[in-house]
Amino acid sequence: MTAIMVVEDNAISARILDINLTRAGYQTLLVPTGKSALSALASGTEADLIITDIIMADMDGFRLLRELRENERWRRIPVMISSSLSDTESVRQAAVLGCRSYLIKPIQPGLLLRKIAELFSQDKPTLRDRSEAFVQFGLDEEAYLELAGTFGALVRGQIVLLEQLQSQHSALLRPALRDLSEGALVMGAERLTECIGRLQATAGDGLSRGGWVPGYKALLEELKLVEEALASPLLPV
Amino acid sequence: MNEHGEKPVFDRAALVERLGMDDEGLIRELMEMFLADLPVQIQQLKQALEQEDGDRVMRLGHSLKGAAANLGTDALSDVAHRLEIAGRNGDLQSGRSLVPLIEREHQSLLSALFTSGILVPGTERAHL
Repeated sequence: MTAIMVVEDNAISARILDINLTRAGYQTLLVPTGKSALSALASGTEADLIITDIIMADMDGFRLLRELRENERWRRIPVMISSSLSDTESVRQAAVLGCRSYLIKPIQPGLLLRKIAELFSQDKPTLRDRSEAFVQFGLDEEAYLELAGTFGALVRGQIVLLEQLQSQHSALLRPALRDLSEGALVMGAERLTECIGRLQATAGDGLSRGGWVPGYKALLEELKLVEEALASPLLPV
Repeated sequence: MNEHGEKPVFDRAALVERLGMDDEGLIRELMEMFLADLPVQIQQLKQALEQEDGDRVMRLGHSLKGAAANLGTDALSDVAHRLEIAGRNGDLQSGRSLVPLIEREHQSLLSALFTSGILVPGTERAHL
């Protein structure tokens, strides 16, 4: 059973998280402070995920994140933040410290459970949602939309190019793949990043190898999914 | 928000959504937890204001804001947010002026919970 440690000094907020997580089948451990979280881990408690508040009495969520990242045994435990702080600086700081997801209170159970499921799932989303783009790269709303626009134009251009190329001339694709790969990384188009990686490896082997055509088709298909996600009036939030 | 632009004393629907189910027993349990702690928090807040400890006022306000918002007690959460800001700015005069508002919201919440039957008359001593 997946074990989630909830670090929350407010008993009500902790209980509401607990109710939602337990009902979704997760095992929970509630601790009231950053220090008690570290003590529990030090005494052998296993956690597959830590959800922490930021403002807490003895050790804030950022300090807890830092302590976890500096410890060889705990550095790989994913951490999500659940806080009512929604300022860019807090989100940026969380991103720098490697926080995987940043949820703003009051807690929305649907979003909470979806983010957790995604975190443990092998199925990557077409596009990372907006709040994660904020977390990962410290983007604000305006910067995100601008980037989404530029990336969308690039994706549309590549779809046209790929359709014209009809799976021929892999060499022509290499510069385009490089540009796409940068945009895909920032926008969190993780499946697209994987498609590009596979195709780049195959393209390096020349046209004679059998991996090129399926890779090309997978890329075209994924680009169309990304285009659709970007064209949605409500980009993922 | 109502027609006067005021936040609701208790938005039950919001709490039900947050819990993912309409469970009267669970709502009562959470409200009793909250109300048992609220007088203690108000006392701590008064103490922090007396000691002119803006940082503590900010933390207490922040914590109360989060808990109250999670419970759908939006009016109380709103005053707690103002306390958090006052504490952060070291504006203890504003902080002191907000204490009676917190106490008023506490009473309004109790009334709303008794009226709606979430709290049962006769148990009010435990919450006052």
